[in-house]
Amino acid sequence: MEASMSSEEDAGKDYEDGMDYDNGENGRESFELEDPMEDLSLIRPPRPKRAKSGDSQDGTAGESNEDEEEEDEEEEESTIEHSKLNESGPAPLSNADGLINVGSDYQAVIDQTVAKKVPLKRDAGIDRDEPIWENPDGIDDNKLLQYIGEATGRFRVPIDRSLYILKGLNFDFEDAIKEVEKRRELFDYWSTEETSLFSNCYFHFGKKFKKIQVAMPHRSLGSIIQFYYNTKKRNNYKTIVDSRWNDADEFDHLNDEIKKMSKVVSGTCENCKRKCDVLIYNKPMDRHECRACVLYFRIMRVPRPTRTRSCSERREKPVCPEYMKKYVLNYEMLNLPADGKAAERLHLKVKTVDDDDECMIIDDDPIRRPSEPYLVETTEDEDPYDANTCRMTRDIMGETALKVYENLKNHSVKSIQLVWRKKQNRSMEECELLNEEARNRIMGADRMQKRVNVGTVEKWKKEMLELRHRQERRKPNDEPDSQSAGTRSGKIRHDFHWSDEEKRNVVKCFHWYKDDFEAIAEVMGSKTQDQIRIFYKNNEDLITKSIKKYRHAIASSLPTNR
Amino acid sequence: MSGTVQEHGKRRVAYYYDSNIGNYYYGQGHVMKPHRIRMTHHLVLNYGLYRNLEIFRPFPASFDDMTRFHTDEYMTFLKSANPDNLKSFNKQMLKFNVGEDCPLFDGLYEFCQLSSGGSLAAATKLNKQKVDIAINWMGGLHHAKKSEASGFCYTNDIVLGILELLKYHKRVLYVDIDVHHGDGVEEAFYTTDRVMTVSFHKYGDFFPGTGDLKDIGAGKGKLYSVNVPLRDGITDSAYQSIFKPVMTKVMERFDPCAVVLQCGADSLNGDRLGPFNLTLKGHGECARFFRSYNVPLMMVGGGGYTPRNVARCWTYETSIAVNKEVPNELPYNDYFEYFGPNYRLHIEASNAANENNPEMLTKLQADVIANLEKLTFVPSVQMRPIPDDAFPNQNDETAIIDAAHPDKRLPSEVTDRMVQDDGDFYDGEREGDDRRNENNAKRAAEFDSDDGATEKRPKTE
Repeated sequence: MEASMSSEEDAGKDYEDGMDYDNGENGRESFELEDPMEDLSLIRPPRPKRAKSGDSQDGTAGESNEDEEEEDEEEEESTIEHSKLNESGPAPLSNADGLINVGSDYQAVIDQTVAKKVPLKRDAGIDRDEPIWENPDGIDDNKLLQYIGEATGRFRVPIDRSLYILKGLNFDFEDAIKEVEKRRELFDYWSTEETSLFSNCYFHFGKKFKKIQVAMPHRSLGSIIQFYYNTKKRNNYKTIVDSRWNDADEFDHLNDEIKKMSKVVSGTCENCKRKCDVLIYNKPMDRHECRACVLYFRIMRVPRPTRTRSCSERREKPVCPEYMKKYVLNYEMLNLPADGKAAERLHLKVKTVDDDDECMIIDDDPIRRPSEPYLVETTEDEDPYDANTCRMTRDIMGETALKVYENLKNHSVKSIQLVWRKKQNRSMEECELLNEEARNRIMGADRMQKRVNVGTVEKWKKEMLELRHRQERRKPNDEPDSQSAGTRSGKIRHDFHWSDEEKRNVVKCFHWYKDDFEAIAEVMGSKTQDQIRIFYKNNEDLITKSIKKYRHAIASSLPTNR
Repeated sequence: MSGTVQEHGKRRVAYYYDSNIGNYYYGQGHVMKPHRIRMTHHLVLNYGLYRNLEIFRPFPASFDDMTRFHTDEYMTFLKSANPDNLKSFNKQMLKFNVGEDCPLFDGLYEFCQLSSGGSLAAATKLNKQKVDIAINWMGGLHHAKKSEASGFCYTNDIVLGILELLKYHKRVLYVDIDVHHGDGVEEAFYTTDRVMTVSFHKYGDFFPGTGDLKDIGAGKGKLYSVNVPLRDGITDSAYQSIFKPVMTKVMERFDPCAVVLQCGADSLNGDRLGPFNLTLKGHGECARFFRSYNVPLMMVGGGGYTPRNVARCWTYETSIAVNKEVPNELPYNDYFEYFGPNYRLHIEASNAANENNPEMLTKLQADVIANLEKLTFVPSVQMRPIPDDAFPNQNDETAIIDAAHPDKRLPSEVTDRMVQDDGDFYDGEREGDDRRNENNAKRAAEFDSDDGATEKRPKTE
């Protein structure tokens, strides 16, 4: 330290000898922090505290000869900065003295050894980057330019992304352009509402993008800033903005207003239907809205369009909703090539049909056989049927088939191909199997019907009829009952005692059937006619009274109620 | 190695960019606009320079990466502070100089991660000798100190990059052609002889106030900090008249193993902050100078406060790195309107007075070179053998080529690396046809998914 100081003074002397620098005298020895302060302040002209922004003024003044129309705005900015700085009072002087400090607090720590230069061993250590593009030797330069031209011109995909796609696809131009084509719709699109909202916000808040974002929370800050830069020169925002920026910040003003408005804690915004912590009562609209919606209303004087939200949603990856997933899976599964396992999937038992003799192919029917010119030998190629690779199915309604049918009408085709096949997928396979199964069952039922003799059926019918008659005959007396028990004589005897419930029931029966004891016994089931008759005799007075009362009640209630 | 001039040799060039960088915004009225990097990127691509570049997206630097230089406390603050909670950080904002020049904006930490990540990735790539030149226009934030933000810079990606380079390179040269003094980098390496910092800048009543000719380093690093203080209005020819002799001397005396060039574009004419009068040609000449040396070169961005000129300058310098001429007419691109009214690449110098008279420059040059002459020897570093990798390294191209079976094709990662010299007529591995294009059956299975790529069918698994 000592040594270096002295030598530095030497250098300083050398320097001062011939040169006449303004600050040459300042003697800013890097290490003489203990220099008497008064000396410094005497010699050194007061260094601008905020040198960098101070320079900006000089800078703009000095270079106004170039591109003046653009410079206006920038000049404005720098003056604003100044006014702001002046307002904020003395700036912290952390670095205004401009010293190079020495000490462990300032210097970087350097490992004083160095790896021996072994060039071949240098691949050790991690990569700190992700390759986006490399230009391989031997790539067709014209093709590359053509590819980039198409990707950027036709599909509006940025160059670097196009390059990345090309690299990812192993420099295959055709694949890459297909891939590029798929990405076309991924553009960061700004709707007209958003654009006008941005302009309005810009008018009110200036370039305080964080505040603008409060009014459009569905946009990221980066997206807003990029939009500003992309449209800056075209929309000429300068013209929208007057010079009010620096004095009053409209945002804070609006924010204060909103703060004063009545609030409700948490709920769903009645405008955009989103949940938020604080709801604010929007008086003109007479409803509670979230901050963004209220702010939008204050700025634009119309309710915030709810669909602005969809913009951010559109940018997300489309995701299959949960409830649809099984259908999609099912669809995918059914679309796979057939594998011959349809029966397993449907849990059906496949009857392995022996080469039965029921089905007979009549090949040599002279009438059905087409005449010579219509016969066509189909080769394997024309009618590929390879059981091992994929199953094929007949395709009667296919395009070629229909065309042939059509041509057939016009007699323009001489030969008829009788079978067309197309690749079978699982759903076809299953359909086929289900059809087969249905056919089998119908046939089974048919066979069963045929096997049974008509005479036996008639006999069964007779028996059934007899049984039914017998049952009907027995019904009134012999109906089994839980409360009765058969006696040895075969007669059914009912309990003599009347339970409360039976009494209630029997009174009701008297109301309805008067003294038709047979009907009552049938309804009651648990008492014989005689028992009921005895009960009636015993309580005749009460019962007739009750019947009268009941009738009266009905007579009086009917007209009034209706 | 030094002085090996191969003017027309082919260089492999890596270019680092992250598409998010343009969406960071320092605040209303702030002159620093990361958007300029996006404008540069669009120009570079639309000029077709990708045909000579390898493009990479760097991984963001991690907290640990950045604390290799910066203090934990400072990085913790940058990580946790944001515009919504800045009231609770009042004290620290004063301490770390955040809030005025260096405002606390949204995504600040991510911004730092991207710019630092780019330079770290570039340095790693150079270390591995995969490329000869690595470009990171997102970096170059040369004012940031160990535990302090300064001059629109929060984390010093250059220092981090140089520290990474020092792992494999004995001596690293840092050259700064920003109009401001590269104080952050100079301070970080003020006391070491392994890094020489050379800065050409405006000096005198100008931010950051450092960079006097007398500041030459301290301790072991004495004479290893070189400052060339200049005055307003310097022109292309005047600048080169001092840049070339000084840098030639530096290359001769210091003999760097790697060079980091900070291409701050605020030294151009028409910059909002810088009072110099350079055009792209004079500025780009510095890049051309280092390209002619056969040393690994890392080019980083830096200042530049008239975005359209920054984009022009860095695009031009990218074209210099790949040694391709680009036409003066700008290609159409997303930000074409920014380049009005003439829509040309090159800018004209103004007729502002050059306050640097030739005598003064001659004297200055003599002083600087006198200091450099004192460097009598090339500093040496203790060598340490690296332990062998646990597994034999498969990426070792030369070994594979040597051991290759003569009748079998080399793996594609090796053939991809084989660079055929422009003037070479020897038929290489890919003679006659591009076999890879025929190989349709082998396709990459999947694509980048975070860019929102839709798939043909909805995903169901």
